[in-house]
Amino acid sequence: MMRSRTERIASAGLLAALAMIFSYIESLLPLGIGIPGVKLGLANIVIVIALYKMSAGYAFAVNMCRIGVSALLFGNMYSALYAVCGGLLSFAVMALLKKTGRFTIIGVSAAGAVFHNMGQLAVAALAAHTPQVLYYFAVLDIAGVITGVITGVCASSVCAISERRGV
Amino acid sequence: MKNKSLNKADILLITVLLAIGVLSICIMHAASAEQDAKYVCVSVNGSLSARYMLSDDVTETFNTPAGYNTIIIRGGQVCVIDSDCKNHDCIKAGPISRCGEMLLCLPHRLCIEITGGDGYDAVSY
Repeated sequence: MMRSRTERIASAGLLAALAMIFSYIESLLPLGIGIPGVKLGLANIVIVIALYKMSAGYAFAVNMCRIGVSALLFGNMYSALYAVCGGLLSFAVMALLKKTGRFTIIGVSAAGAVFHNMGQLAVAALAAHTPQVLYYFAVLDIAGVITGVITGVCASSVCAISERRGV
Repeated sequence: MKNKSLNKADILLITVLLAIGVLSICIMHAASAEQDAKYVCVSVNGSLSARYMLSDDVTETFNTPAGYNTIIIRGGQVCVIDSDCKNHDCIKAGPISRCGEMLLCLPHRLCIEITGGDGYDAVSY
C-alpha cells in the first residue's frame, strides 16, 4: 500500500494524468454506438481505482483535476459545466455506495456511470429549457449500466492485479 | 480484492437501475401517445367556433355570415368538401393532416387549423 504522503500525492498526480489521457483518447475515438452522449467512460476506470486503492479524498482530487484540465485543454464552458455536474454527482454516488461496503467495484462503477449520465442530462434539460430532453433518460440510464459494468470489470481486474503484486 | 465478481447487492443494484430505465421507457411511451393527439380547430372571424379530435369521424357545415363551408374529418385528415364561396380555394387546398397546417376560406373568414401533438419531425441532441 501507499506509504508516505509524498508517494500518495505523486500517485494521485499520475492517476489524474492517466484519467485525462483516457478522456482525450475517448474524445478522439467516438466509439460509434450511434447514440449521441453515450460514451464508454474510460476515465471512470481511473477514478474508481483511485477510490478503492487510495481514499475518497484523493479520488475526488483526481476527478476534479481531470475535469478541470481536460475542460481547459479540449473543451469549452459548456462541456466543462456538463463534466462538472456529471462528475460530482457520479463521484458522490460512488463514494456513498463504497462506504456502505455492500457493493463490489462493478456495482459501484455501474451506479457511478448511470449518475454521471443523469447529472449531464440534468444540465442539458436546464440549459436547453426543454423537458423533452428527459426522453433521453431511459437511453442514458441503460447505456450507463452497460458502460459502468464494463469499466467496473476493468477497474476490478486492475485492482486485483495490483493487490497480487502488493502495490 | 476479496470479491472480484458480482455479489447479490450488485445484481440488485443493476437490476433496479435497469428497471428504472425500462419503466421510464414505458412512461415516455404512454406520455407521447397522449401528446400526439391532434385537434381540428375551426374558427370564424378569428373566434373559435368548434374543436374536434383529428381522429374523429365528423361531417359538419359551418354557417358564417358570408356563406357556408362543409368540412369532413376522416382517417386523420380534414378537408373542405363544399362551400358557396367564389374561388373554392378552401376546397382545393385540402386535405391536411399535419400539426400547424391550415385551411382558409378568406371570403367567409373561416380558418381550420390542426393543433396539438408536439409538432416536431425529429429532435436532435
